Amino acid sequence: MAAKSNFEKKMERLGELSVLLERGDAPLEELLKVFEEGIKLYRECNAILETTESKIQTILISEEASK
Amino acid sequence: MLKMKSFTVTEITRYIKRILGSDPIINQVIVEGEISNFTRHSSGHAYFTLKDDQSKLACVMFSQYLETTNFNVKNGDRVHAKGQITIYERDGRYQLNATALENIGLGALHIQFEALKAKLEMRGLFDSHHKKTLPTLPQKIGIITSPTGAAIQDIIAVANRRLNFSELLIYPVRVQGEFSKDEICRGIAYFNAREDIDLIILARGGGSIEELWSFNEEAVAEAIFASKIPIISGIGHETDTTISDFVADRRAATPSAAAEIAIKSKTELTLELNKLIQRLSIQIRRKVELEKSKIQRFEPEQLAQKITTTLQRNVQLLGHQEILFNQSIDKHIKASRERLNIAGAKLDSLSPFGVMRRGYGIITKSGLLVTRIDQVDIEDNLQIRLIDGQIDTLVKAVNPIQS
Repeated sequence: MAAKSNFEKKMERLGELSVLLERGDAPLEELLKVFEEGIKLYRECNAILETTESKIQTILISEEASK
Repeated sequence: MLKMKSFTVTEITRYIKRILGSDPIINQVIVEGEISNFTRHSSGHAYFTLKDDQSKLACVMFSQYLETTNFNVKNGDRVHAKGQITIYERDGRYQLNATALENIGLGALHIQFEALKAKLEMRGLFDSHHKKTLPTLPQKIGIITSPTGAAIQDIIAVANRRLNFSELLIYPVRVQGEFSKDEICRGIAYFNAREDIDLIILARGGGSIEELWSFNEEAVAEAIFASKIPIISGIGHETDTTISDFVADRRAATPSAAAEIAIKSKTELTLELNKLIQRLSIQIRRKVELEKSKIQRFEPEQLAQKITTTLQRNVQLLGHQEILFNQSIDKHIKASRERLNIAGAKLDSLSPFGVMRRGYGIITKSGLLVTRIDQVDIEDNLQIRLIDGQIDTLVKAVNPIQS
């Protein structure tokens, strides 16, 4: 119940990394690290996208009533 | 019963119509009730239902009468409707053909609605600073609605169309009737108790104010306000407004619209993700190229090239200087020569030889210059110096010039 989903956070971070690179004022080694992080996030996001299936599920009231 | 004469449907309907038509009350009557299901046909005629807490009466009001009405007729208005009860033969239904409407105030539910709205507004339940931001990419969406209603069908249709990315969890509730409000509240609490829900949609298809009433209950408003998970309301049609809509973090006009806001398309997300990584790749490549170009300036080949160029430039500069120098020397010599010539000419004009060249001579006696005749006697030897030689003379006579 996070306000932002995991996927969304990763996407946001990717956007931030892009801004960092665009500014490009950091030393190359640091920018390469930023890029590496970006690639890692990209792979993770892609994995989420590929494995998330549209699921529709109805919650059984009994489950709720048992509380 | 078989001995009795049978009527056709039309005959019996016409009979009822005739009886009703002969009744003075039915022919001219004023009915008090609350307007609901008010619709205005494209022809301009209005159709609505008049109701009280126990009964309903179908009404029609033709455009020419509606135009003479002095207020904007809407659902919930309590009115006195004047007109004639008639039978609509085709459907076998009776209805009030209204010819005049008088507004006598809002209906009881509307008054209740306005009162609760004012109360909750005062308490700040509608304040925009309480509105939670919606997650743009919710993975798990809790849906509180009727499992058999039109709303859930609309939401699922949107989800299917989108190749959707989200998981939908439906919490089935009754969306009208006495149990409805408690079920809705329990649904909100249920999703909040789970740890994995990103967003809640509270949905119901369109209906009259009575049918939508659960969403105007104070308990439901409180539950929405207390929810830690953002809630989108998609209740009724565009024109229906409920208290829940005011409290929700986002109001969607319909259940479909709520789904459109909440459910993201997998294709779109993939595109977005690819765009991001492309941007990243381009930027890092550009950065690397930039660094490379910085290094290249110090490579031996580059340096040699640079030195050669500088050298060549200097040689060229030198050559140019030489030309300039020579030119300036030449000018100098020329000028000097000219000055010398002028000086020579001047000297020439002052020299006695110059005068002699024009035919004058210099006369001397024993080496002394003779300028006057009293220096000379007869038989003196005088020397005359001309330009090309000397003449030795003997004086024969001395004659002064008579002036």
